[in-house]
Amino acid sequence: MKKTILAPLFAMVILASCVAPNNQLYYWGNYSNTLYTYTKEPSAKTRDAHKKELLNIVSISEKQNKRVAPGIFAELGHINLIESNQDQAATFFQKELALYPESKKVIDIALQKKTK
Amino acid sequence: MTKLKLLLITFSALILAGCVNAPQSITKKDAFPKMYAENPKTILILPAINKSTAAEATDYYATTIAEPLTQKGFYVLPMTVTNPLLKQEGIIDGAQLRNSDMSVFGKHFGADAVLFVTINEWKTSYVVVAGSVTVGIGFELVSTKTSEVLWKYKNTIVVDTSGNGNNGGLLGALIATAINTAMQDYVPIARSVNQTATFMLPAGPYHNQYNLDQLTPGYVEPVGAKQ
Repeated sequence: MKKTILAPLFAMVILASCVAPNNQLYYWGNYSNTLYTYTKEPSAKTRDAHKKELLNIVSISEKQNKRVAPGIFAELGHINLIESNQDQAATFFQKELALYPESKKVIDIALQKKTK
Repeated sequence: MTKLKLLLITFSALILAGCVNAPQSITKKDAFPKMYAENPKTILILPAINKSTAAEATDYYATTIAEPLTQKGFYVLPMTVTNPLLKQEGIIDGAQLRNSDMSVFGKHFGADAVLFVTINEWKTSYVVVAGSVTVGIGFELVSTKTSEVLWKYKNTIVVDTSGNGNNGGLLGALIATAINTAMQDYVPIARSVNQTATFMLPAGPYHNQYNLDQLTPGYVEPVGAKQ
């Protein structure tokens, strides 16, 4: 009987340590694909698709009570800079800093750029 | 019930085979003692050292690496901010920095460690009846305090794109299907290489296995990937 329990348990442990799509630390959604498309074919359209995915990641992370993944807010700040939304950009950079204080030096540089 | 048990065992064996790919004789602590001594938290990813003939590989690869590193518990400095800064300094290829003093990245970026990625292979081969896509990546995590290597790993994955005969195991079969049904692409393969790499990387401070994974398998050289 004990062995019967062990086998599925073992499989579960392996699965959890290896695949674990729902057990991940952060929610990254479709980030990798939208960023890749934007990198491959840079345009307002592909950038907008990536921005939407970043905002989607923020809202789903919050729904799942997960911390928003490192760099997501910073990337939103960066895209807002490209779109000349200076204030929005600053707000997003501040959010990255609040969530991850270790980003301070890089975020300070990004904020300086903004005021230029 | 017996059938189910058998299935589960087979399945877990498959997962193990597809995922670990390494001799288990060495622990992470023995393989990467400096990693546990320094406990880096914040990582700066440098533009890849591109040894392939594909110029676009660096930029495409850059889209794949932040996510798996954060899932492993590290803070990855936002590359959309750091890459333009490096470019301003004339740095577009990590090779320019490999022998430099790394402390500058601690001082100016707040990085505890710098990740050097080497793209060894990024190519498509056509033989008469079959084709294959190869992605080979090497990783070196270097301390900004001592400029010493804290962790390293390299792996090459070859995916047969002809649709028959998958020698890449379960993972290879899955990727091959994705490629055959969509378009031939390197990025899904690069993601798989990253996955095997971060599996071998000791967990970072945001991960619940932080410092608890010292006795789990480390590695010497990957043996699972078809060369």
